[in-house]
Amino acid sequence: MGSSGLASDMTLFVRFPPKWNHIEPLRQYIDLAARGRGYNGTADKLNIVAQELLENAVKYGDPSSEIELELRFLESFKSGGIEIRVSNKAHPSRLALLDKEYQRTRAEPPREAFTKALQRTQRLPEGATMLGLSRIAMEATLTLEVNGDRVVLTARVV
Amino acid sequence: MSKRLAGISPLTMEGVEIAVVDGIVRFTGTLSMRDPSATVTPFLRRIHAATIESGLPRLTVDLSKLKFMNSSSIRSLVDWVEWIRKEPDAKQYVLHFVTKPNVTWQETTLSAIQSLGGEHVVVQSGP
Repeated sequence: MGSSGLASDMTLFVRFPPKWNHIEPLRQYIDLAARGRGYNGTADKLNIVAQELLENAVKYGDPSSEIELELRFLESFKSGGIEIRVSNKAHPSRLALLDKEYQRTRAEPPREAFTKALQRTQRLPEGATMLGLSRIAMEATLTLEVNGDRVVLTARVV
Repeated sequence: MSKRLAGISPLTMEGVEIAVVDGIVRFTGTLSMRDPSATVTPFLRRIHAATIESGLPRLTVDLSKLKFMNSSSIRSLVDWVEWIRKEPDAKQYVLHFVTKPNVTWQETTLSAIQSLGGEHVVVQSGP
């Protein structure tokens, strides 16, 4: 796995290569970090969000470019919560598709968007889902940014 | 209990076990593999075939000990519901999911699957 460190008492930063076998230990790490700071009530949501963001980056990102993960405990914010930000270099061909899925999650309430995503899944080739973003949107506030050739997905779990 | 169902050996891999115990399909652990369509989906297909051959009107699927499920694995459940819907009316059965109370992802995921499956999907929180 790549480098990691505690940038401040509220932010955790990890950079790692896009390998599937890094996802599970990272998710467990995030879960432990959250529970260690007393976020037991949001742990289930955070697990879903972290897994889907990391899977998305590993599956669809540039396989030669590292993924950056930032976890922030928003203790100075009145509304609190945890922010998880995943940044990776994306294939240009994936950007339009990602944006389309993202816009779908914003077009209607999260549950309706997820149900429609499930319906679309049935028409996709076996094994494909395209469910990740709509699933995240049910558990968190999700934003998508494109900075140059990097895609940044940020989810805030409260 | 169906002998066909009882004869299906458990699927155990990558942190998850799916087993038929006393006629109930029980998921235990964490379901987060990259490509469940190569393993989980065919396993569920065997359970589906056994259920059809046994003529069961209802099959209980216990998810209460499943800690986590990624979206790729949700596709396997969606496929299962679709297999049932494509069967002739006389062979269709009800998938009765049992979830763990207060686990948000189970409630949200299963309620969406229920909306797809209509009368073929029942969701029960707790035993």
